[in-house]
Amino acid sequence: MENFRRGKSLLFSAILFSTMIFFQCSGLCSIGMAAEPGAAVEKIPAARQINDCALVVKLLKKQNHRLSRELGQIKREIAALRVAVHGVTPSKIFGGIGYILGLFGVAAMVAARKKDKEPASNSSDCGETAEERD
Amino acid sequence: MHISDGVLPTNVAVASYIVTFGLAAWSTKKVKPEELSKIAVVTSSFFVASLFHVPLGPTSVHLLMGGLVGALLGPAAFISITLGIFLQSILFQFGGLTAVGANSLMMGVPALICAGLFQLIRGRTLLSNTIAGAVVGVLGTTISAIFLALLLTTAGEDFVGVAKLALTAHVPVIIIEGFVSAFVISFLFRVRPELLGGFRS
Repeated sequence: MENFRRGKSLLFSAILFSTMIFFQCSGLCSIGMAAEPGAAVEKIPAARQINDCALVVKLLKKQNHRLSRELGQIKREIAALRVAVHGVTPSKIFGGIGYILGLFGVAAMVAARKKDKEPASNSSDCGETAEERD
Repeated sequence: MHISDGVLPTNVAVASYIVTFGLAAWSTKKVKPEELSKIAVVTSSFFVASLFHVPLGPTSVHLLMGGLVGALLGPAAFISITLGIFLQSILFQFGGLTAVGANSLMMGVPALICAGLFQLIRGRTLLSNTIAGAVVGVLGTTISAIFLALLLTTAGEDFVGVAKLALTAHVPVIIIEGFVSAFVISFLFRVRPELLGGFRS
């Protein structure tokens, strides 16, 4: 029975100790906390604390690197969009040439129709076709 | 060489639109149906030529082709240039939509002057045609720069100062333009001389 009680108190203190360590570790490794007076804090091994710090710094650096890479990608995309909206792109150049050729094509068609019609109306008046006159 | 939106006073912009419309209508009337394909090709070249910027020293230059278009198309040069400038303005924001009239005048009137001058001085030999080509190439850009200064004077700028600045900035373009026009005209004279003349009838 005595043994059982001692074991129980040991177990309790172990749980308490591990909970303290857990809270110590889960917070972002703060130096101020480590410097605080208190038996529980001083019991944490210094090597482990340094390890945690290094880990957190490493993770932060990794995250920073990833974010800056994504930001760079977004900046490049914005620049590409700006060029696409305002700048000179091959599709716009060919589009413009298409407009010009299309407009002159319509003009040529209208001119050709006019040319066709004129001799026809004349020929109906005079009773001869354009070919005969030529 | 483009005037942007909001640089010119409203009355000048509107007046240049009206003059441009008048000249474009006159120019369209002068177009012969059999020349439509030639005009289309020259207009496309004009439209594309000013998009290719060649870096030269601290700045970059691009061809203007006003003189060459005038020499090749005669009176039809104005409608060709107006169309090219309108498309450049809506597709690439070269100059603004409100300044299309002023920009067309700035490029189109020198082209008309060059058209008349080219027919006057071209002569009959290859050499005289080549020299005439170089002259219209140089003059087209120079008169455009002077027109730019004239138009900017209406916006309250000092004419002599702007003219000097515009001409100095365009010295490389003027030289290149002269060479390109001379080359194109001499090539066409050898290969297809009928493309160069006969606007007077």
